[in-house]
Amino acid sequence: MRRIIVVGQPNVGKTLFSLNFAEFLGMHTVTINFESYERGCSSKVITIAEAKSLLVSAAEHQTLDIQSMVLTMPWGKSAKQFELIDTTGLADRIDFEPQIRRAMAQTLHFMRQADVVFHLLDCFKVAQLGFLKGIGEIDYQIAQYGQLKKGYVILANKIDLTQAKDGLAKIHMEFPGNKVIGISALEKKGFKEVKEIAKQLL
Amino acid sequence: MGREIITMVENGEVTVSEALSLLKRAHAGPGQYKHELTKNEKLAAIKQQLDSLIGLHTVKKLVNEIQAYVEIQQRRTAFNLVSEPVVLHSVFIGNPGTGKTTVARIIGQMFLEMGVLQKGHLVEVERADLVAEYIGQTAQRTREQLRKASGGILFIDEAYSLARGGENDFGKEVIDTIVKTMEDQRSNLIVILAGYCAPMEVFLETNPGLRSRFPIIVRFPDYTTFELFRIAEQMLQQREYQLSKAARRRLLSIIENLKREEPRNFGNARTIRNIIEKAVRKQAVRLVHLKSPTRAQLMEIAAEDLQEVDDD
Repeated sequence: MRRIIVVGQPNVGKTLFSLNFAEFLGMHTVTINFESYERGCSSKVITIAEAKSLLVSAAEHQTLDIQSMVLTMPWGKSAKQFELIDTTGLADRIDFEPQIRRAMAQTLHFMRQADVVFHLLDCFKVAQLGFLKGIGEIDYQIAQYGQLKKGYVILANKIDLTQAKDGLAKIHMEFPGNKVIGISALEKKGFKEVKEIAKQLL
Repeated sequence: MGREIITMVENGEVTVSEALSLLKRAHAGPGQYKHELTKNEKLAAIKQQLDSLIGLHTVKKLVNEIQAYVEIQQRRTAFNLVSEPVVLHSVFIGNPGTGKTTVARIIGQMFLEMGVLQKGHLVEVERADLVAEYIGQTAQRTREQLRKASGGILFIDEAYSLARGGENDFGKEVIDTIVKTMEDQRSNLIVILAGYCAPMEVFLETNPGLRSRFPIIVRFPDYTTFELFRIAEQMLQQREYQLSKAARRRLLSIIENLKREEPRNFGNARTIRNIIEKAVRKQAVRLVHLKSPTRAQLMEIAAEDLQEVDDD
């Protein structure tokens, strides 16, 4: 099964995107495999609404386990399954919490194995704070590493917010030659395009 | 390697950014590093091959001119200037063994690197490959060869033989088919007509339409005695043999004799290769009875090994 990994800085909306994308593909319940360093693997079948309330929050580093789910995408007359892996946010600083460091290490581990990288950026933050603060060194490094993969797509999130347009244009300029799609994880904007590109890459 | 880098992140030794750039480098792997030649480096290597051919000064100069011309036309196109269509079909005139095929092969590689041709390979044909026995089959057979050569060079050896045989010969059909394909497939095929001096001149004169369609005429002069001698030395060097002093004198006199006696049928470099091959075999026969020949003995070609090729 092909693997798509969703990466980005903390709090850009990776988990919300993953869950809403699953919903967009027509799933009502998802089987989420949690892979945690401390507790090992566990698997849970929950509805997407439940998953959202459980997993998504406005605070940083909400996701500390790798959560992967198997999604089905219509593929001609049949369907194709792939694994969508939601990860811990990658930050530039070395965190003093060993738990968070471990979670990041695990993210890198899964990134090595993934076929396709969806790299989430925060348009709004870019528009407000400019490049240096809105996008860190980490994002450039992810972009560089992404080139090694079969597919690498930048998803510029939060275009539902005002001013975000500005940020999207800046991201386009900053990462020439890469596929950039403006999305809103919250309002499921731009998902159609994401689906098309996922189809091409899988 | 990758696992260690990830452990370093876990232990807080490196930031995630550093880890990612390390991972990227690890992915490339030290063993897999390979120096990819750039277009210019490849071109230089091909030119070096051409330059290492002995003699052929006029030919080398002409090839350089053609290369510069094509390059400039390409640059002009990039600036939206009027650029002349590059027609590279040529006629190679020269006696046997003067390097026509060798140069054609190098030119194919050169045009491949310059992006003029897609494959740059050489398809060598002669009359028998093109002309069929019955009416209507010749065009088919010729088209088959043209298809094979598409993206590269069609090298027609002894091209004048296509015009011999009078009115009803199918050779004419071959020429017509080729000329038509040349017009259609303007950019992706180069046709080279090759042949010996005298009959080739006659061939071109009797088919006036060909002159304009094959604008480049390359004349391969006969090698001088000294050039032939250097060719012999080069061949021996490649095989790791050496001539003794007496052998050098003998070889020179053999070449001079050949040139004087039969200037027409003299096969130039090809004859030299035959002489060398024969000498290598003779040396082997001479040494095979020795118990333990030294390294120097194994390398040396003596005067008695050298013979004019046809005298047995």
